[in-house]
Amino acid sequence: MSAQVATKAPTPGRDYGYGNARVRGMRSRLLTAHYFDELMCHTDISKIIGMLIQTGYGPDIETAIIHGRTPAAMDEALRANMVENFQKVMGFLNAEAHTLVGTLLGRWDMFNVKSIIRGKHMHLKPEEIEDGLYAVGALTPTDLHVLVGLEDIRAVVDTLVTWESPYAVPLRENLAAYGEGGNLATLELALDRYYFSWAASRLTGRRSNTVLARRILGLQADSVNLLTVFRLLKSDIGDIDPKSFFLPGGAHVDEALFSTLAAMSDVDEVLDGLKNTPYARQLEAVIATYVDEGSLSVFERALEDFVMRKALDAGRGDPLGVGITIGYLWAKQNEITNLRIIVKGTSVGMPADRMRKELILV
Amino acid sequence: MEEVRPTRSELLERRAQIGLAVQGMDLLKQKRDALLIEFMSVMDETLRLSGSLQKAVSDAQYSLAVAKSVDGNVSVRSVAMATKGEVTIDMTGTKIMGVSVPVVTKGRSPVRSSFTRGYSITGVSSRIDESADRFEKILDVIIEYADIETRLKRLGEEIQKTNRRVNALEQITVPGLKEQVAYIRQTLDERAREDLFRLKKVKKKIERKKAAQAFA
Repeated sequence: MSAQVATKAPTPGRDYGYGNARVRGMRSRLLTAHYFDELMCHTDISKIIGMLIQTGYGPDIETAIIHGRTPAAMDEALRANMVENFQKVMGFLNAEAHTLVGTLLGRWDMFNVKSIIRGKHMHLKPEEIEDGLYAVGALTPTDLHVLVGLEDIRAVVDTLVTWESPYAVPLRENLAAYGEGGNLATLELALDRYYFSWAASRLTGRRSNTVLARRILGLQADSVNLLTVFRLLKSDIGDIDPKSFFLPGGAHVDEALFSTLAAMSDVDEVLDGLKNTPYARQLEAVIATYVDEGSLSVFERALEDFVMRKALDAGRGDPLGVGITIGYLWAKQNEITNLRIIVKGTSVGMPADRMRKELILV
Repeated sequence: MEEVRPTRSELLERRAQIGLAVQGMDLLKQKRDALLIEFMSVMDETLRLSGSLQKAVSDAQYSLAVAKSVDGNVSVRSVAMATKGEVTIDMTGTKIMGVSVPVVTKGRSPVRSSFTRGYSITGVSSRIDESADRFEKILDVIIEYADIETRLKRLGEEIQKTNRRVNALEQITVPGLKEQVAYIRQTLDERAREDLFRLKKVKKKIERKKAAQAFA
């Protein structure tokens, strides 16, 4: 990316032996479902922190809790641990895996770019923006530091163009529209659409590893598209074409199905329209909870659960394939989300049953 | 006691003042009762809205806690950076039983749809979105609550003021006037008795004088 960043070049070729052995070693250190149950037995966050310090999270937690044993400090520690682990994994991947996994992790680059342009949009100080970034994608901490220090959104876009970053394309195309109305959603939507289209175009080919990565990307795109459909059911968007919210590259939900679903009037119809896809069973299983709670997050969590399990299944396939790495990275992210739920949930007095409902235990 | 001239005209004037004070007191009591009735109905509405506000705040806090725990502080903060908005309210005034009260009404509702908050929905989790929605609903209830609470406060102040006036009339003004009336009456009676006694004395003196002349 930027000239001043010296990134470690991936091992050339397609040899997965070394990398997968390292990943398997890291996977063996993931926390078990039983451990999460033990954590949830505690009602005091200090005890949970005390238990977690004994695990691989210890060094990050010890650094973060200097200013207090708060959920925010724990959040910071978990974020640091995730970034560190992801960077470590990316460091010993071969060239093919680096491309495939790097493409999937591009969503974190997107998250970072969005956070930066949001911060610039609100004229926040660079340090305020930098606090909320995950340097786990192609953009290194140094790249992000440079972008954060720039004056405004235009400067960020210009710099990304200079670096020949793929994210520069949608931003440059939509910068004029943003300038006219000041609507950040235009830039964000363009980024999202571009990312999925760009990633899908990078993940073409018949090699099993590419097919696997493409499937995970497709499930992610479907998941966002289905959630958009549910949101459209609840909102009046006036003259806007629902298709403008469609993200390309889905595995089971193409643009035609998306348009059909978006035109439906209630959740039952949407579920009926999804009967030929693997999502129908997942979503039908939580329909009663949705009716009780009236919250779309029920569907979102069910879809996240589905994508997570598919990514973890990928890790149980070819021992010399990219699935091992993908499975580990998703499992690690899930573990961190679970820990965050327990720490935050405990700190606000959330009942264990409610926390358990939010956890994805594998 | 205020210096009072014990004269009949003063007595009549004080009596008229007592009549006026009692009449004013009755009117103020009636006003106070009417204000109390209004106050109680506003109080019911305030309690209802206060309950709604408490529920809205608790729902929003809970929803934020869920969003922060599942998506992380960083994601919530990032989305928060994308959205900004303004709350517009209209301020007018009305009168309840002669009491001026401000009327606060919502301009444009602060509750927005997921598609108009400034971020793209394709990159924001529904948990964060719902959390934003619930906090906007708090704003909505707060505006209603501000209107009703100001009304309650003004009515309460007016009831207190009216009560003070009634008490002043009932406990100080009317008893004071009555005391003055009693004093004037007592003084006038005494003066009348003195006059009678003097007249009797004079009459006796005249009669004695007449008797002495007749005797001489």
